[in-house]
Amino acid sequence: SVGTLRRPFRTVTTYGISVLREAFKMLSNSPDSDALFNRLDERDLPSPQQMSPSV
Amino acid sequence: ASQGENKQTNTCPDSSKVEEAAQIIQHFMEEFHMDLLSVTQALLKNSGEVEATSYYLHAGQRSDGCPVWSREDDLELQKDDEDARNKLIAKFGAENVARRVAFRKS
Repeated sequence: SVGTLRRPFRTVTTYGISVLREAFKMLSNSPDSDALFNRLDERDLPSPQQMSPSV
Repeated sequence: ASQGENKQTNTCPDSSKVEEAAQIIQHFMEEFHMDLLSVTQALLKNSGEVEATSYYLHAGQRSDGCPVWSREDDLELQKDDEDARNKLIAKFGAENVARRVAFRKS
């Protein structure tokens, strides 16, 4: 059946920056989510150890 | 000077794609116990690649061994300069550089 079909050996799901921006705006409570998104884009990613958990 | 950013096409993204991306962001927030900002930034620095971001958040590095993109790398990418482009290709590989170009324009 279709449900048991195997995936190709390597799937790559990619979203463009404009899609990520709109998704971020959809989820963000910030009144200026556009500016917030730009700041995230302009800043470097902290090391995984420094990335803060949400809880 | 930085004309690269101006080349972006301002197309309205497909709403179903946006909803799909939002669901993935929420999934990562739950899976990795991270906030919206951290997950979104991880996706940004992994060129919007879902599997690569998932691996990065899990393992703290990319599965291809390449670094994540920094602001400086993005600024170098915008330069219309062969030397700068070759340095990026040496650092990230031609495929990742091509993906980054497509991501920045998307």
